[in-house]
Amino acid sequence: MKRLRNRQLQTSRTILTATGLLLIAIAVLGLLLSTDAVDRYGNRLDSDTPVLNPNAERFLDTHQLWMQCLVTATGVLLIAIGASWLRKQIPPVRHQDDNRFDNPDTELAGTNTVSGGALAHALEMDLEHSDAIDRARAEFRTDDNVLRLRLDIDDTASIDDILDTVITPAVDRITTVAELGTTPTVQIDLRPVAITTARVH
Amino acid sequence: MRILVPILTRVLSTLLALALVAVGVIAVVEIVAAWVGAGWTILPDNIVSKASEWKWSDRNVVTALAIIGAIGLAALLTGIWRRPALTVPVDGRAAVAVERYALEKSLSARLEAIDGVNNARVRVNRGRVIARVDTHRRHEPGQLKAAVEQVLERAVTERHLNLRRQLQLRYEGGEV
Repeated sequence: MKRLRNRQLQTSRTILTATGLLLIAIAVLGLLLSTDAVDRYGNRLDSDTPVLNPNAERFLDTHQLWMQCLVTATGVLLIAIGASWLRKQIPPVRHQDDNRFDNPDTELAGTNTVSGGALAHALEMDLEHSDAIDRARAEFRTDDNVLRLRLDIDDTASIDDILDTVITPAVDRITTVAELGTTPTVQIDLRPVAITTARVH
Repeated sequence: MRILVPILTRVLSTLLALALVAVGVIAVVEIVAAWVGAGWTILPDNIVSKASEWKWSDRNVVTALAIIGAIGLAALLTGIWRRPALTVPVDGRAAVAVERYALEKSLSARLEAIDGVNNARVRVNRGRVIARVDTHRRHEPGQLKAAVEQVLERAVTERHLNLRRQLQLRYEGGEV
């Protein structure tokens, strides 16, 4: 789903911008000391003394435990941000949630499970029966009550017609058949394509 | 830029994310090693004495800071560079969006089907649809432009896309 990818890219860009600003700030502050444009920041960073000067060393020794805790917390935070950022580089993968519901037969207590993959496949087949839809891909996230659809539609067909006469009835049918309880929130990505080949049903 | 910026975003994001993880792991490992009395584990043993010798004006310190600044600048520029979203929202239907690339291809194909149009290139960007149409026809190019505008407008409005239209019709030696 491209809309999910949009969100991933937006997050990635935000982290990229924040990291860029942080690195530039470090470089500028350091270069100001290196070029003697600034003499000192406090008494721990001085352009006339080494990078780690005695004042800074003394400060680190005095507050050793606090500094160690701070560095550990920062390290853990960096690992979390880095890992999450890396994960955002992977495009969204379709994942189907199974639908579980209690057996309505009071004499035979138990739970029924309908595979999410089977639900998605059934809906895809139903949608593809329409001449206006060339290819359908569905993702059932029943745990979040969300249904995501990616549809290749005939680029000469009206979007309103497809939504009202094809998609809505198909979603209603699958909601009833699979006993979903409530109609899921539907998110649809449409891809207008030229359908040139004849369909055989 | 349409190709370069997304590639740069992916590459820089991956490298910087790995760098963040690496720095975090080094920090945590070194502190834990210090707590258990194992000494420096990943970083060299003489890191403190070296840092006590490096001056701010040393060439290697300046070079390191310049590299950090260059990477930061590249990350910042890539992050703030504006680029079109992958989907275009359908007006009045919050749950429905049209994929941008497929829309561009579809619109190009529609414009190329018009008699007299030699080549059409359509881009959707920042609430605008920009069509660049080439033709070999020199006779009454205004008529052709009107036809292209009509097809483009119909294609956009019938899909309920809130996009401003911008058309450029070019023929050998001129532009309408």
